[in-house]
Order: sequence, then structure tokens, then C-alpha cells
Amino acid sequence: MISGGLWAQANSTGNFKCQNGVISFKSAAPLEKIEAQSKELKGIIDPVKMTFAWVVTVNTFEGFNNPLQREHFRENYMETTKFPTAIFQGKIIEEVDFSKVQKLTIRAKGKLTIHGVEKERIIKVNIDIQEKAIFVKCTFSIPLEEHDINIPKIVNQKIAEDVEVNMSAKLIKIE
Amino acid sequence: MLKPLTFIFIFALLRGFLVAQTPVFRPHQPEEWTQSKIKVIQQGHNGWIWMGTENGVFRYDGLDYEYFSLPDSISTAPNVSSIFDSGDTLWVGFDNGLIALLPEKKMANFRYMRPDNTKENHHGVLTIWQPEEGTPSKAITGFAADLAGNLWISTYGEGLYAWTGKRMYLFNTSDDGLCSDEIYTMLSDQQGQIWVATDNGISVATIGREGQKTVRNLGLKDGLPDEIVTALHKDLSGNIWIGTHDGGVCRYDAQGNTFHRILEQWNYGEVFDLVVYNDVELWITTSEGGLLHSDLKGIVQLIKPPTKAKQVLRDREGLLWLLGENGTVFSANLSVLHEVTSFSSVQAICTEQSGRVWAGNQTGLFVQKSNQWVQIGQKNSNIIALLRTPENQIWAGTFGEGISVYDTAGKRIKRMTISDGLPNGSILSMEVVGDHVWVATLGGIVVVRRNTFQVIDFETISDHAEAAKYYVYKIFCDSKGRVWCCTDGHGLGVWEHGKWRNLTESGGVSLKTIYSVVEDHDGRIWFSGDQTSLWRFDGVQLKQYTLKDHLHSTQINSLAVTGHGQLVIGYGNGIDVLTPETGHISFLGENAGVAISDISLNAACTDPLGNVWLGTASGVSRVAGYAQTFEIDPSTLIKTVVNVAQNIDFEHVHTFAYDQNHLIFEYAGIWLTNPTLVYYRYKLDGFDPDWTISKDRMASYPNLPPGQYCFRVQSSEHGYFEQTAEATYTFTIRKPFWAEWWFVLAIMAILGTLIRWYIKVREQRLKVVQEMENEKIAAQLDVLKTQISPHFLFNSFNTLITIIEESPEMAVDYVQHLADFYRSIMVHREKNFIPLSEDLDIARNFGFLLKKRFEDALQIHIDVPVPIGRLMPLTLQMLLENAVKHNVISKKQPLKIDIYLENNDTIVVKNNKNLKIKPEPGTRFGLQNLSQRYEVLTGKKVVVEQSNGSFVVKIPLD
Repeated sequence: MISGGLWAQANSTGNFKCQNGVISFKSAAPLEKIEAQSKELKGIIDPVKMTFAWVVTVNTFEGFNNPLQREHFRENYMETTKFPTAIFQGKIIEEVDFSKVQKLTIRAKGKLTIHGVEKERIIKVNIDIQEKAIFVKCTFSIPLEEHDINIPKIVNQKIAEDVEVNMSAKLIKIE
Repeated sequence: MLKPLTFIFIFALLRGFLVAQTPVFRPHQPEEWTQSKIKVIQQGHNGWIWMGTENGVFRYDGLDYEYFSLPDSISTAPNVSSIFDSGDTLWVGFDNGLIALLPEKKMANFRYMRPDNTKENHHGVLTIWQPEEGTPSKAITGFAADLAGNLWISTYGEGLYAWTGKRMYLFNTSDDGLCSDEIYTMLSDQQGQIWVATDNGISVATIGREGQKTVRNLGLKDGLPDEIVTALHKDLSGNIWIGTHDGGVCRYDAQGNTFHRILEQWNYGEVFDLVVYNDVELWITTSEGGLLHSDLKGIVQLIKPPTKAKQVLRDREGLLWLLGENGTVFSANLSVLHEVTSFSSVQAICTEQSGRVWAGNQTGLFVQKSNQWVQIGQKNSNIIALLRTPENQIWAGTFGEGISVYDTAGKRIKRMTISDGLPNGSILSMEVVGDHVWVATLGGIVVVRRNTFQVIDFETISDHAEAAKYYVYKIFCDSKGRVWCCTDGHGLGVWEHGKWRNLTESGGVSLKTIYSVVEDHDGRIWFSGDQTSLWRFDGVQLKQYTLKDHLHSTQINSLAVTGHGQLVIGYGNGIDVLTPETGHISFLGENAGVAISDISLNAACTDPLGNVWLGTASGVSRVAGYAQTFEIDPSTLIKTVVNVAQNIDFEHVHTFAYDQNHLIFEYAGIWLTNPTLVYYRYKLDGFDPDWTISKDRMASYPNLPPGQYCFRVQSSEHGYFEQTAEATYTFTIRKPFWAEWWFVLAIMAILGTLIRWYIKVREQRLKVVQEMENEKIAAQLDVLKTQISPHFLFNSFNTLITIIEESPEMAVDYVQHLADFYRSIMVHREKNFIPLSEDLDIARNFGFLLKKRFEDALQIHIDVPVPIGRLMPLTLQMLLENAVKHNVISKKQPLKIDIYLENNDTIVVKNNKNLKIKPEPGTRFGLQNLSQRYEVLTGKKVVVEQSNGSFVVKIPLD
């Protein structure tokens, strides 16, 4: 699904790789709070080219209020049969020395593809660089309209127009 | 080999700091506590000059500085690197990528600060901008707004950001093809496209509504003279002026998509910054430290500025601001540039068609040549009048030696003296009239044919021979062919188609000596004379302008009209610039940064570009005559409104309580040209009958009565308020609540309601009493009816018959009980209460009568050893009767009735329940009526308890 060569070289020595990052979203809707998370976020950072790619299979999101809500999420809103994955890939704006143990706030500029719609985004990320691993954490919002995620009129009451997304992941350096 | 070098050396000297109409630079020294080095300056939409420093920003109105700092949460204060006023928000960029902002509202609410106040007590605080995407980590080098309202932010190292109001986009080299991520400067062109200048050329970027990016790059192959672009500026026509590192300055023509260099060979160094004035002039600062003045075609002059400027700024009034590398700030008024010449006391001045200036004084005639003044003709000839003819000949009138005519190369073509027919050798004024030149000499007016230089007598062309003898200071031919002569003692003479007349009087003021005359672009004649100030003649009427019309002085030395139609009035110590359409007058003198003094009589002319040249005691001055696009009045604004020592958010709050009535208004009229000249006129509509004119920047209104008000303030630098914009604040002071109509109404309504309520309650009580009375009567009647109902009597008599037969004595006893019973009814029925003992007696009598009828089927037990308390009469009788009425009474199922006391305050009537299958028709009153009456009369409740086996009624005793 991911274009470009980053995943092809996913196991190249020196890259940082994540197999089980956590990504969650919530919509602070007035009537019903919808929350779900997936522990199957995969990611890769190339510390030389300063590029990155993150992908999650939308069907791996769990934790809805009820099975019906999950069903709606998959079939009506996200159309996971047509658009099974959500992707964010691009470059890090700041210059980061990944060999130095430090905590930083950086910004990632890339293409966010959700529901098959690609949008350019800048996302502010907190990173904690350890010797053999990187911990990544960020929060950003997704306006549903931007990604052509259509919500039936009555359900508009339920889902907020902006969905808040939280992600955190540990990336291990490939030796 | 030496010669070319020498030539270059001399050339460089000529291009050096030798000749200059030098602007007068005024320093703007911040107060002691503003010593932070100034990094960037910018003008806000209200006219403020914002200064970004190492430590926050300052707002400067020409007199005072106000300080806005970063919040205390920012520990290491970065340098301000860019400032942008979007109209409602001030954006401040820092060299570490931080961006802060200051909404207009907060600026307004910032307490006005005088320099003697301490910094700690009064300063505003900037807000850190925190978009979701974060802010850059490289220096912010610029802000711009496009037509769609997007905010653009350029950085040195990260490229270009576009903020749409909810989303931030980044344009950089690797993804978007921006020519470089290191941007020096940025501008938004007339189409709203964003131009960024880098070491690798120019990128022109746009962003669509959906975030669609376009980037177009301009480089050497497109004709850019140098790929290192350091400065960008747009002019009024939509062209972009570009400063480069090595290639000098070029203009990008938006129509032709082409670049045009102003000089093919550029040897002034790297362009730091540039600014365009009205599409006719460029001012450029360079790494060599010079300030270059360009007429768009080349470099006119190189000025040594007071500081090596890294930034130039043109403000709304047309002042040129310089920000030095060392952080010093200077401003100059470019509207009047003065050149101190080697020859002093210039008496006459004129310009060629090329714009080259000729000037004359007591020592001879001089002309500009290669930015130097070169003397023409004889030394020590005393030049007092100059004229350029349509043939581009220069006619020089001397004192005593007639006229010399030169071509533009400086060669004398002709000399005319008394021997050629001039009546006198001293020439006061000359003017082209058709094929002739009119010459005013000390011996009168003569006319000279331009082609043959033949002198003709004035009488041959005029009906007024007398005029030929007049002593004329100035001759002027207007656009209609009329010739105006400023005479000594005979007013203003006018010659029209051979007819002569004199304007010698207007409205009682006699016109005697007239010195100067000009025509404005609408054909009106303006003239000035000895002590009679300025006159305007529209062909029909004369209008006088005096000090009352805000004229600076009545001692007018010369008049001229600029190419844009403005009247320049020269005095000994400055000039007035008068706009004929409006009568608006601005004075430019020393305190406006204009070094112009001792303007000589009638030493004035207008060049083909429209500039006015004036001869003065120390040299020549140029008054810029290009189209006036600058503001000519101060920008007036209300800075703070304080009510009872509280700062008011006057954008939104307009209503105050009756005791919030002590208002102080602080306002400013920003006129950077000459801040000390600004006067204010204010008036509180609804309170002040008239305007107050003052220099104070504050007006105070204590103890305003309730009412509606509008505070209005205007500012003016010349005391002429009629046309200046005003700043207003409308507000209302409410009446105290007890005087408000709604309060009075509410009180009346409450009172009315109370009275109504009282009447209603009283009526209700009366009604209850009345009802009770009715009920009592009804009950009594009911009792009577029951007791004497035929049924009762029939039963009683039947019983009596039986008894009489069996035992006559008992019959007597029975009748006696019956009589007793009726008697007690008669006695007690009027009373509300009777003692329990008496009611028990009634019950016993009644019980006796019943017992005789039902015998053993009815058993009544009265167990009240000590009867105390009171109750309503016939209560017990009624309860006995009820029991008998509703229950089956037979030998097999006897009815047992117990009457006893409970807790000494309640009498209980209890019977076993054995209801008849067909209920007796009940009376209207009965038990329910009893309960009600008890409740009303005693406040106590009658308790009725029914269970399967028994029926109990508990009557509380009074």
C-alpha cells in the first residue's frame, strides 16, 4: 500500500522500526463519546534521510462503545474494504541527531492518507531518543470533511467534526 | 595605462558624496530603558512605528515609546526578526522561530505610557502563537498576507509557511521545488502571489483553497541579473523592484514577464534594501554604506547616510526611515531636499526641458553638469532673472547689464543691452508670451521677438501705455494667454488680447505691491503681495488667505505650482504646501526635518517632472512634485478609555452604571513628520457645547450625569480640522436603577399585585366564614330535618305504642327521653361547642330511644368516666344515627357501639361493621360535613378509621 521505497528498505541497518505502536482517536461529540484504539501501528524512521512512514490497518481499531458503533465506523465512515489503511509519510522538518540521547519537539511534514484522501500535514511530535530506541508521541486533529468522511445527518450529532488522534510508539534501531 | 585609471578615479569622485540634495536625517533615540538594540522597524496601520529589539517590541508615535514584552514564561528572550501589522493583529517573528502576536484590542487597552514612567509598571505582553502544527525553529524573516487572507511566514532555513487560519502548509526545496529554504525577504504582489528572495533566485508561490500549491521560480535564465536576491519591493503599477547581491537593482515587469536593470554596470555593492516612491524614485541602501537615490533610469545621487542602513522604510506620510546595522533609527522628509551650493544667495532659478537646473546669483550663472555645478558666462555678472524658452534657450537677466541668451551647452547666443533698445539694463522678470518674451526692467516693460531678438515698444501691443512705465516684479503668462504683471504700487495688472486692467482693490483691501503670481491646474490665479498675504482669483472673485486660514506667514517670498497641482508658498523659514481643491495647508520647516531657509524673492520654477525648485540663501531646494499619494493629516485614534480608574475595553463596552461616570480618554494623532505640531480638537457630544482645541493627549470628564454621549477627537498638524478624520467612542451612562422607568413600573406593579393579593385573601377569608356559617345553618337544618323526619317520628311512635301496651310507666319514661332529646336539640343547635358531658346526655337519650326500638340487637356502651372538653353539639348523636342507618341490626348480628375517651383529648365512637346490602340514601352532610366543620373551627382533624370489622370515628375535643 505504501508507495516509495521506505518500506522496501524497512529492515535496513540503521533505520528505526516500530511494530506495535498505539494509536487512538476520540471524538468529543456532544451526545456520545466515541473512542477506539489500535495497537498495530507500524512505523519506520530513516535517520539519515530524515524520512518516515507510519501505517495502520483501520480494521484493527478496537474499543468502541458497542459492536454496532464499530460496524458503522468500518463500513459507513471509513469504508475499510475500499480503504483498508491509514498512512502518514514524509520528512522531518528539523535536523535531528538520532545518535544523541535527548528529548525534542520536532515537526513532521508529510502526506496523511485517510479514507483514500491524501492531505499535506505538519504534525508536531515529541520524541525521546534513547541509545537503541526512540519513543514518539503526538496529538493531532483530523477534520472529517477534509478526508471526505461523510456522516449521515442525524449522526452528525454523534461524531464531532474534528477527531482528535493520539499516537505513541517505540521504535527499535535495526542493528 | 595611467589614463583610464585616473579617469575611473575621477569618475568615482564625481559619483561620490559631492553633489546632493541631501535629506535631513533626524535621529530617533529611544529612552534610556529602550536601549535594546533595534533589529527591525515596521509601520502599523494606525501610523505607529513598531521597533523590534533584542527584548520585545516598542511602539513609537514620534514622541513616546511603549513597550510590549514576551511573556515571562519565555526565559531566554530571542531577537525580534520580523514584524507585520495585518490590520487587526500585530505579528512578531523571532530569530529562533518563535512567533508572537498582539491583537488590536490588546494594543488599545494597553495603558498609555509616558517615558518618565517606569518600565515595570506599564508594559503590554505579547501572546505566543501556538498552532497545532507547532512553529518554526529557524529565524522568521518575513510575514505577508495574500488576497485570500492567508498569512505567509518566511524562514531562514525551513522555507515558506502558509497559514490558512486553521491549517499550516510548508513550502520547501525538496518537496515543493522552492528555490531555497533560506529566505531573505518576502512580499505579496498585486495578484496576491508570494515572492520570496533567496540565494538561488526568486520563487513565486500561491496556495489554493484546498491547499493546492504552486511554485514558479525565477532565476538567471529568466533574466535575473544575479541569483542572490536580497531585497524586494513593489510599486504602484504592480512591478516588482528587486535588489541583488552583485547585479544591482532591477525591475520585474509583470506584463512582459521581463527584468530591466537600472544600471548595466553596478559598482555600489550588495543591495541591502530598497523602497519605491510614487513610481518615480528609488532609494537604495547598500553594503558600501551609501544611500542611493535613483530616478528609476539611473543613479541620481549617492548620499552618505548617518548610519549604514540595513533596512529602509517608507511611511504613510512619505518619510524615509533608515535602520542602521548598529540599531540606530533615522527618518528623513524627502518632500524637500536641499543642496548647499558653492555659490550662495541664489537669486534666480530655472530648469531645462531635460530637468537640468540653472541658477544665478551675484557672482554669476551656474548649471548642473555631471552632478556638479559649472559656471557659465562671465564671472561676477549679477544674475537676477532666468527664463527657459520653448527653444530650450536660457535667458539670463542681469542687474545693469541687460540679457544674455545661452544654449544648453552654455554657449552665449545673444546679448541684449540698452543699446539694443532695452529701456534699462536691470532685468526683474521675463516671460514667454506667444512669439514674444515680455521683459520687466527697472525702466518698464518691453517686448522682445523670440526669433529675431528685436525689441518692441509695449505700447504697440497694449491699450494701456501707462503700464509700460510700471515697475514689475514678476510677469506671468497663464494657460489662457493672459499676462499677469506684479506691479509696485498698482496692484496686479492683467493684459488680455491687448486690453489692460489693474486689480487694485477687493472687499475694502487695497492691492498695491504684488510680488508673485502663479496659476493652478484649474486655471485659478494665485498671487501674493506686500503684507497682504495670499490671494486667489477664480476669474470672477478674489479670495484672501490669511493666518486665519492657517497660512504660516504673510511674508511670502515666492509662489510655484508643482506638477501635481499643489501650490508651494515660500517663506523666509520654510514652505507651505497648499492643496487648491481643499485649502489644506501643511507647513514644512526645520522642525519637520526640512532645512530650508531664506527663500529668495521669485527664485522659483517647476521642472518638467513637476518638482519645484527654489533658490535660497545657501543653495537650491527641490520640493518633490510627484503625485501626492501620501497622507497629509495625522492618523487619529483613541488609545485608552478609563472609567473610574478602570481600563475599558472600548471596542465592546459602551454602557456604564450611573456611578461609573468619571471618564478619561487618551488619544493620539500620529504625525511622524512633525509630532510636536499636532493639535487636538475634542468634544463630548451630549455634554460639551463646543470643541476644545488643545495639545493635550488626554481629556477628562468627572461626574457625568446619566445620558448618551459620543466622544469625538480629531488631530491636525496645522490646526485645520474640518477635513481630518475623527476617532469616536459612543457610550451611555445609565440612570440609577431607582430612577429608571422600568424600576418605577416594577415597583408599581409589585405594589398593585400586593394590594390585589391582600384584597383577594381578605375576600377569601370572608367567604370561608360565610360558607361556614351557611354550613352550620345547613347542618342544623339537616339535624332538625333528620330528627323530625317522619321516618324517625314514625319509628319512635311505633316503639311508643308497643311500650304503652307493655308498660305504661316505661312509656312515660320513653316520652320523657324523647322530649329531653328534642329539648336538647332546641337548646344546643345555635352553639358551636357544648361540653362533652352534655353531648353525652343527648347521646344517652338518643341511645335510649334507639334501644327501645332495637332491644338486644343494639348494644351501646358509653365509657366516659370523667367527661372533659367540648365538642360540637349533636356530634355523638349524629354518629350513633349514622351507625344505625348504615349497618344491619338484628338479633343474630347485633350492632355494638362503643363510646370512650382516648388520651383524654379525643372521644371515640366505634362500631362493628356490618353494612347493609342496599345502602341508605345518605344525607347531604353527615360525616364529611362534620369533619370540615371541625377542621375549620378547631384546626384539628376528625379521624375516620375503617377496617374489615369496625368503623371508628375519632373526634378531637376542644
